[in-house]
Amino acid sequence: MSVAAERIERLHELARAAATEGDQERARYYVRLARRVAERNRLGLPRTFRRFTCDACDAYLRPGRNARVRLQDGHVVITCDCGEQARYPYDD
Amino acid sequence: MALTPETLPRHELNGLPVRVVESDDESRVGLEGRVVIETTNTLSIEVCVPPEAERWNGGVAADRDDGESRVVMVPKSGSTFEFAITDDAADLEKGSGTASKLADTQPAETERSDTADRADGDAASCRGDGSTNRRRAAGEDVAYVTVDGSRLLSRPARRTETNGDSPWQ
Repeated sequence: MSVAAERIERLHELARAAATEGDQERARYYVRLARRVAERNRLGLPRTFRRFTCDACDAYLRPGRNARVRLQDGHVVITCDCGEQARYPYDD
Repeated sequence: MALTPETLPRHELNGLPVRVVESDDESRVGLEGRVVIETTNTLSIEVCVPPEAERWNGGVAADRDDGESRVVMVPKSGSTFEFAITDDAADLEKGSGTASKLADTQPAETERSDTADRADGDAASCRGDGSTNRRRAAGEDVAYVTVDGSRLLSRPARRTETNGDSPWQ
């Protein structure tokens, strides 16, 4: 695994830790930095990272705290506190 | 490419336990904590207030949530940082307070020096100035990496890239 991929993973953990401690702004900083590292190094972001961050405001999403998770017919809808909605399919 | 002394200047610094060993401003020398925010020219270090409290606790916790911490911004240029890296660098449980106790015990320095010399060559070649020396504390999985702050002068997201020595694109 390259240095950049490891950086993204570390930043993911840091963002989660910061969000758990209630420091949303710092979590945002880590999320943005991870996105930037991925962009500069032409890497994709891990699936867990994509599903737990908001595309619009870069918040680290904690279901029940700053995100609502609803199951619809065949897909999940995650609503961030900023109003952004993300959808992804699920198989039952 | 794990986080090793060789890759540290290109790796993620946020979250690493760090100590300021040298600085143009004497009041910053000895600052100890975790890197929380990195910018092009500065590192923001989260230290406990008072800094001595962490050493008295013997490196136990003293983390952010106790409300006794503050964030100090240290310029990279003109400072020398000592990062403590573990085998699992993302291991956030390792208290940074152990650094001060183990920093002076360095019996394993000689066996490490040959790899340091070799690594110094390729590490220094990627960015001209700045010196890196490494020590490994015996018995612990903690390695202390001393990095001149001028080697870290780069945008946080761009440090990882390897595009040669030239400052020109």
